Amino acid sequence: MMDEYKKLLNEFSSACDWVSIREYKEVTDFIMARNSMPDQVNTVESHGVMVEVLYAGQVSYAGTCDLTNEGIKLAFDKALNFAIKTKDNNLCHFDDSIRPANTGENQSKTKIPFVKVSLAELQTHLVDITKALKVSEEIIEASAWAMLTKTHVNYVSSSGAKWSQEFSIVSKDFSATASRDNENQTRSYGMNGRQLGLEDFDMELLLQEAKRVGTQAVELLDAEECPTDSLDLIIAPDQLYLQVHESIGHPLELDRILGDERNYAGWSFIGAQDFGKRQYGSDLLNVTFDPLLESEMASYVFDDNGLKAKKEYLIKDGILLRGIGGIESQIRSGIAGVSCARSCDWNRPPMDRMGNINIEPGDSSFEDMIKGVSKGIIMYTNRSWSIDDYRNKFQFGCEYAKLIESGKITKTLKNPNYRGVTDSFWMNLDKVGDKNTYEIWGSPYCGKGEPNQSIRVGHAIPSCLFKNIEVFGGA
Amino acid sequence: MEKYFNEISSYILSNKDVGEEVTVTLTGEKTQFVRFNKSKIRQGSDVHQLTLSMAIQKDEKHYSYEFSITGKSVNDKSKVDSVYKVCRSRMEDMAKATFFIPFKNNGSSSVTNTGKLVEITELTNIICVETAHVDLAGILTSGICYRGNVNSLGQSHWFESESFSVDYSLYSEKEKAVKGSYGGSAFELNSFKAKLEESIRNLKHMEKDNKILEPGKYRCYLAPAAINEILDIFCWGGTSQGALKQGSSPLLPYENKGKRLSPKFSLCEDFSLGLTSQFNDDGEVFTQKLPIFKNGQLENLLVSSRTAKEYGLKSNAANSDESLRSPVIYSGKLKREDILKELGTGLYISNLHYLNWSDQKQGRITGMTRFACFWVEDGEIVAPIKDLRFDDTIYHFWGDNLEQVTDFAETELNNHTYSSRSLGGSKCPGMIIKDFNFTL
Repeated sequence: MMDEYKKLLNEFSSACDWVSIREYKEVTDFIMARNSMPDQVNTVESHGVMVEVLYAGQVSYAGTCDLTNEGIKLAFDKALNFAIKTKDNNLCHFDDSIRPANTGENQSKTKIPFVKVSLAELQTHLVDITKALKVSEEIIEASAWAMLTKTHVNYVSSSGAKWSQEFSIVSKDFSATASRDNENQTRSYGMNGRQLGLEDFDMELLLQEAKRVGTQAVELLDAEECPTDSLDLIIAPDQLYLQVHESIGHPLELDRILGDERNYAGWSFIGAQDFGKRQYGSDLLNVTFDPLLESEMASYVFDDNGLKAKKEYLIKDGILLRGIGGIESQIRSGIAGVSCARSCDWNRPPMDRMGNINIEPGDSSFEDMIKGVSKGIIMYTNRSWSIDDYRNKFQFGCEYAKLIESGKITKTLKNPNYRGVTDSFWMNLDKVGDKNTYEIWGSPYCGKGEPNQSIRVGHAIPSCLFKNIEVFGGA
Repeated sequence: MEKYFNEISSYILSNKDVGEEVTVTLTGEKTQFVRFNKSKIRQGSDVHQLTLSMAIQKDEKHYSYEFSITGKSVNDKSKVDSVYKVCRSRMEDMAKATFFIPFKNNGSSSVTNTGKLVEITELTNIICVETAHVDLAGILTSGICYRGNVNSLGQSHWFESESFSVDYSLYSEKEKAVKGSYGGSAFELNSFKAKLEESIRNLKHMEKDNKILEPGKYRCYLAPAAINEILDIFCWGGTSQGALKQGSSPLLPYENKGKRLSPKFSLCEDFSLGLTSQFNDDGEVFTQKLPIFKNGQLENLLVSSRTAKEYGLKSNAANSDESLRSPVIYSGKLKREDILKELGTGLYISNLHYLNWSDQKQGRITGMTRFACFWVEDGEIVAPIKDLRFDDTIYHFWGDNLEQVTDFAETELNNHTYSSRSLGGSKCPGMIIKDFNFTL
């Protein structure tokens, strides 16, 4: 198809300053099991092209599912027509340097390709997981699901870019709800997605985990309520990844800082003047944008503007260095950015997306973190999240917690929550866990943009200890 | 498009095998999106997308495959052939559906809402010119949406609707903001200008320095847009019979602990709003009006065929997620001109942001104030407020603490555009609530 697209570009390019075609095809199999029985199975396939036209400094887009030459030509005409007739009202004026002419190929590294196992076999595995979740008659609901996604992207431009990428992604979760005397508690594995093959379905490990999850759901029925207090808080990676996502990832997006998102997701408490100077967190905080970390969910070699991917420090020793902005935002803002212009499908234009945003591991063991706490809490697995439109005032709820007293774990706590303000929260970072506490998490559902786009993100995170955090329990 | 859907769906149905039953669903749109920042064009994109779903049943097995089509008969028929092949191969070793619901003929319907849309570049330039003196961010969406559904038992539904919307916010130099929206099936310049002028007037109210309030319980007026945000999150599990059975519903305290809502609270699924198709993803037709809460009493929950089968209940043709698609909260008696007087001293909240269940099983919701929110003293607006986080349960703010409901309600279109344009919308009044709980 790339050669066919190239021919079309040759035909189109005389009418505009630059043009590209991005073909995107994604097939996702969704498989589910509930209460020791198979549940729904379905497949969703999205396939189309986005034609991108640069004319008089403006980039215009037209996406179509009509993959015939006639259909792509019609899309080109629509994008060009829009650019011509609205050229006096452009916000930005770019030249073709915003679309580098890179070439190459990239593919997720997998050991067991999806085709090696049938959906029926996978569903049997999921049924087995729900059986393992039901550790007691008090488990009233046990469910497990998996999504297997294959994505192919082909990109060609009139200036010579020609690259393709192929991603293999496994997302999964399972959960158990326990009930007694009108109280219900849910514990889950935690939704996670990775660029892997079916080696991610290590059934021996998953069945062990399912038993743990089921057991902890029942354990929560006997647990004490999380206290309301200001305490030391250790946050496990399956919660901290969302904290990083909401209170570091989003506020550092340059398109938010430039105001593009003001009407929907919001603005940012960070301004252009903060880069290179602002103390974002304690000097233990090191945050990277790393699109090259193997198996992390949002790894890639080219972003959707064709910029080559590269690891960069966003925050080093607590100081804010760089924003999450692709080439267009970098030019508009004058702020150093990263290769992060991405779109969720063929039918949406690229914009600044966080990709893989990671906390680099520190040197504290999990045991050392606990030993240093006279009274505190460890929280595991996100169940609720909310933050303001400037990414300051947040509140998170977790599924499961442990109380620490005099350097030792003593009790299980239910309905744990914490709240705070981004600025002071990261300054209270007191210990960063070592490699042994480090886990790779990813979500398929980061929402942003007008029109809306839900995209995959990755976060590789160690456990971390924070001082004096406001914690509280249930209703 | 209806003609093409009939052609391609006929091809699908005529190629089913003996013993197979098939349901075909189309989701389609031709939409233009224009994104604005500083009253200029940030990104313009045109989207033409057609998605077919083929759900196949055979030997009590059920599998669905959704895929993009080109709109060109030759290409799409070839794609249908390959999808059939994949489905049949996969269904061979697939387990029987645990709660198998055989397709049936749920009747026929056809609705076409034709609009008078202005050509997109003309409309874009009008918006840029009319807003050149202010700082506007937002999105213009314009075009036509299609929904089609047929099955091999004779069911046939069609819905298409042309509409546009301008969803925007205006900003002052001090970064104060107000929210506005204008939409419908025909653009009228004078109406748009009037809406814009109202927003500009509201922005002027925001020029005073922010009043910073300590967390605590405050008397509040929540405008219809704010109530709509709460309703939106309430629909996430709150109206689902399945969620109640599976132990995750916010109505568990209502069912098990005697918690009640206010007699002033009535909620209905009401398709007379005319904003979306009355048939669901399986082509089942929902009744035009179904009360959910009537004067605080739970009357009905949404029951999908799947939930009905699993728990031995009667389905009311709800979608599989059992959320409301066209909800209406009933109006009360509070007149618009009396809102500030009745509020007295407290908060006037125009919008809320980023709501989520903070404890779903207890009905507790958290979220932030956003855009034009004011401190009011003795019925007079004093100053805009610094944003606040609330965290409170439906049993408080829609229960004993619900004091008054306005005698007017505002319709808000569902403007979500994840994957494709959403249809539907809601109609909500404003409410005066005492002791609304703010935590940060």
